Amino acid sequence: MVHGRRLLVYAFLIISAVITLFPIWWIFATSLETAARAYSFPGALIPQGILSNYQAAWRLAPWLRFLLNSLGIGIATTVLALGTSLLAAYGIVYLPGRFSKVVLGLILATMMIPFYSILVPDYLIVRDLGWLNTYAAQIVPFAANGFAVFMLVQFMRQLPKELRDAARIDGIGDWGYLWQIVVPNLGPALATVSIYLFLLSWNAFLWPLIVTTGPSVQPIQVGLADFLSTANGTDWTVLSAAAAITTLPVLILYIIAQRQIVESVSQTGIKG
Amino acid sequence: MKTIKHSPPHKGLWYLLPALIILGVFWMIPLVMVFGYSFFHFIYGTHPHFVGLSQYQQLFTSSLFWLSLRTTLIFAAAVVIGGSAISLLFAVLLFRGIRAVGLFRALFFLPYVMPVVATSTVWLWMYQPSVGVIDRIFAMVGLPGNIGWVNEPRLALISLIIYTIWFSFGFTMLLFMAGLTNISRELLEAAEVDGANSWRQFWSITWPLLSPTTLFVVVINTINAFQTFTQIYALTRGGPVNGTTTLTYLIYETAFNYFHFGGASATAVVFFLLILALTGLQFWVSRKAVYYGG
Repeated sequence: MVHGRRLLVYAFLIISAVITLFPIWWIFATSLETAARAYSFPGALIPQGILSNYQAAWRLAPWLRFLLNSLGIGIATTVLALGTSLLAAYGIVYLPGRFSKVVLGLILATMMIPFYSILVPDYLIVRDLGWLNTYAAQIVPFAANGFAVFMLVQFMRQLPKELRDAARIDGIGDWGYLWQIVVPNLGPALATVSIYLFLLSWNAFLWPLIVTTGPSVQPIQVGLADFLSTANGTDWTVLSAAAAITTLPVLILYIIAQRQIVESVSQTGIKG
Repeated sequence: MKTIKHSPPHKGLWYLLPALIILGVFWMIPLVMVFGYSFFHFIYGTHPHFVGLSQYQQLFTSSLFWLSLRTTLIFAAAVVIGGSAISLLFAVLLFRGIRAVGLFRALFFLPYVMPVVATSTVWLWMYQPSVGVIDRIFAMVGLPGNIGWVNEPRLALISLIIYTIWFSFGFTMLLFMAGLTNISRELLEAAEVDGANSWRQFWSITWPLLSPTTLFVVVINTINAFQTFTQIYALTRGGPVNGTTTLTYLIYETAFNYFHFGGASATAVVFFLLILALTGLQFWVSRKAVYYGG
């Protein structure tokens, strides 16, 4: 009886997983199919394996450029935001002063501001800085992050206080203490925050859509969206090949770092 | 904390400065500015002039605003309630000591890390009338064909909801699984010894003890649902006939299709206050109705 129920649970989970993964399979299946066969179902379930759609998609847009743009923007944003957040959290936890509570409050309050509500003024600020269609517009506004500060404050408060006294006896100053003791001791917490920051940047869509106008600085999602809206009359097979090109790097990264990504997301609980 | 209190009060501020400057220039000052712009008639490229509350008056008498508010609420309610129920079901099933939990978890979570524009594209292809795979399957099992999944206003919203639940339920499932690890196995085992079946165990132990997690899930998912944009842009562009224009899409459209920056700012202020009120409401609920143990 118990055995039978368990079997039922497995069957249900497997069927659900197949349904969940079907659309992702369908991107690749369609992309490897001739246009004529793509419209036949269930024939197209097992693709023929032709690569001409990829050749066509590759010719029509600079995918490698888009990909490198996304990577560069993501890495730069992550490094900068991690740096400013580390400094801020350190200042609050280890060097508290008269205003640090107020400042922490202000920084945390920015978590409550939906980016959609400040789209217009931010656009005007970026324009006045002469940053339209640049990397800077996509990096600098996100080079600090209230939620990252919040998490790092939590993690830093968990570090043992004795470390601090020992360091002081050894003559290590505030700056040295941050880089020599605090940062190495944060370990996996830094990875969690970094993955959060990187995913936030990687998934950005509306902002780069507004502030970029050409493929030279566009991230891959905006590049794909532009490709789709200008590719009128292009076959679904070629569109699927384009979608597959943007999906493949993420898929590979996910297979490699699946555990860390899942851990980071379940701890931070937020997608950009 | 006490041992380090003798640091000079200004020293820590240097460390706070970089974050403060960035957040100040690109987040805090813009928030003040958006309130300011909402009182100006301001078409991008022309000189703004002060009009008092008339933008708000226009907004509140615009049928498109009320339609998009309604669409946002329906979308959020469907995604939060439907998505949470499905996610909870999978979290509980995966928690029943089955094998390969990690594999199932990774598979269900996969859509969430895929680029939204890419997966929206394949859903758009699947949603195509008659040639799309969904209509094909419908035809095979004898259901009505040639359905305008993204071409009819009412259906388009449902299609958008289905896509959003598909792509996000793995994320919510992770949150529920994290909550379930905090519920003691002994309690459930004791209940089993007392003869409570799984249904009973769920409703009298798991569900009440999970309520802090459930609240967290509802808060996060409601705020995320209100801020949905990418898949609307990729799947329906707010259409057809504004059927999928949510508040975020309305802000985008007003500002960057019609360049009506003043009107977009008024909408943005209403949107901001709505999110603020929602968060406040949920904190209030959490103090009234959630069991935190002890």
